[in-house]
Amino acid sequence: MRTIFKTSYDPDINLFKDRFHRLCYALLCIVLILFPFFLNEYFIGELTLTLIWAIAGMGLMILVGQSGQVSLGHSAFMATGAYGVVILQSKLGLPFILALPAAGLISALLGVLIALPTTRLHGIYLAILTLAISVLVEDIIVLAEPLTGGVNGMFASDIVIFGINFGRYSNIANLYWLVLFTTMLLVLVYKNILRTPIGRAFASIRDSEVSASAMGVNVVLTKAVAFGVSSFFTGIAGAFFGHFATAFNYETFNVIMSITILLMIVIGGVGSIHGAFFGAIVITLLPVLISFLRDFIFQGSSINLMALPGIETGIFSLILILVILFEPRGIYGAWLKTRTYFELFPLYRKDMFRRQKSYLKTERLR
Amino acid sequence: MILSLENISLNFGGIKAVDQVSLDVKEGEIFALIGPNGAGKSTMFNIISRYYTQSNGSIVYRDEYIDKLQPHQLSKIGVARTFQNIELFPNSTVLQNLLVGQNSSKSSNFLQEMLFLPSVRKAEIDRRVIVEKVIDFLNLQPFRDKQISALSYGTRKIVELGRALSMQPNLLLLDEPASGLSAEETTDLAFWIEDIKKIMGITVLMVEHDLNLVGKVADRVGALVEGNLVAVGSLKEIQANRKVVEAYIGT
Repeated sequence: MRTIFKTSYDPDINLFKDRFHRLCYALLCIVLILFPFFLNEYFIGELTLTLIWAIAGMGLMILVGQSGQVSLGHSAFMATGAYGVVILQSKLGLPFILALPAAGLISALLGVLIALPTTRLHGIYLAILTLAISVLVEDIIVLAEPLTGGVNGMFASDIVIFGINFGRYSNIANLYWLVLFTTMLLVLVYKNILRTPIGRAFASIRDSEVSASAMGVNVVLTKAVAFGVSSFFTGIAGAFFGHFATAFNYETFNVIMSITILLMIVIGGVGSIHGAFFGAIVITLLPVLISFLRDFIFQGSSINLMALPGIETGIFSLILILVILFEPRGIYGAWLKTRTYFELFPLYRKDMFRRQKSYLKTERLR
Repeated sequence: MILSLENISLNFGGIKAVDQVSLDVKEGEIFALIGPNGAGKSTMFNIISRYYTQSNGSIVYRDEYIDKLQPHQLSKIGVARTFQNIELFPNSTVLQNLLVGQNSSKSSNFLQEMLFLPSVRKAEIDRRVIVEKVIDFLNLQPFRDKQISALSYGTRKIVELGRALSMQPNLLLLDEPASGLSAEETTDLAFWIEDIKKIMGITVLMVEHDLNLVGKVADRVGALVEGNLVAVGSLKEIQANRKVVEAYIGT
């Protein structure tokens, strides 16, 4: 086990614990950047989609994992991002490089508008409200036909930045690098949130609103900021999703999408950036796995996976049940345990990660 | 006077939880509120820290009325509090819990923090220095990177005191700081409370059932009985007061 000898407070603030840690992430970045040179277009596309889901996952993770609010309506922010970026490009003629952050900001604004009147809602009530809002956004999209194309949906033209084409079908490698670059920036922002007062304010309202306000944290404002940042991330993901899908309509961003993002972060591990990525990998790998099973394992047998409707959702739900039963901290939790096992070998104990139940809380003052 | 309560009353329906209480806390003293269960001590605390709004009366803190403030605004003017049942953030480490206490004094906004400008790093180190002083003061070094959920009850109590201290308050409200502590831990606590007054110059208003602790540290004691402040004085005077004895033992 490596021990770091600290002589200043900087190591506790830095992004990376030590040189080895930094090296690992540098290698990961290099491998990710080099992928398009080794893989065919299909896999680059899948990787791009994984990153887009990961961005959306990070968005919801900020809300659920950091600030402790539940949302079942994040497809609404995906939709706002996707429609926002395409409308800004086609109707206002904004270049993509401006339209992308603008679409993110529109989503963030929507998030803040939802958060401000709903800060008194918790848990299941907030979930139901956000669910209702996502259904409402679907309807608004259909009604606002001159802007959104109504039930027919919209077509996203190729992304062009400074004359370089980032099109889904014409230049998928470029699109992959663009999404990768954005993902890295957003991870950096997420890490910054975690190591500064705003992240601690998020954690404090997640754990105890009463004592958060006693510590000088403005609960209403902090919740609004959490919602805003979360929907900004998700809006960016939605903008890329629109360009990745190239054609989309209101049905693309349905309730199933909201639930998928939520399940994704639960499977990946709530409360960690890694969790968003692990979850995203699981949901993009799943269809690949199913087609693999179909082609190699069950070929020629009487089981025809193609004929089973909803098999994907079924397997997804099965994974979720297994995760909640056996590893509530998700894939990232399992990885942490494995790593600790090897770091402390042979001293690891089975209950090392078990925590005591917290003591009685002050009776809520509301 | 650091804190003056003027004719504070609070009714819950037909119940008078606090009835016409007037109270002055002097700059630099330790004032203890005692009284039987249900006498309204914690209610008084919640009124002072603005979780409850009184039906009558007003609160003056350093010549300013603070009746209109929200709970989170109190930390800015230098009032910190602890809770009777520990209200720490269980999923964070001790260090992170203490750093939250410094949140109210931050000068950066969330956009600067998300971009991690150089000034944010500098402010972060300044905050850490202040928090490390508190850790030194309360001997919390062994627990610095431990999660709250992994700590014992006694340590959590101390961490909660530390979190209030890391706000660098002028007035510290302690709600039953010794409840659930062992005799040894209570002795430590008594020294700390004395030092908080003497070394840090912080005024302390506390609610406490442990009269040994009150006798050791408190300069003045107030006794609350059924929402009324029946006596103020030294612990000896309070213990000799007939009304107080009646309230505890019955007639």
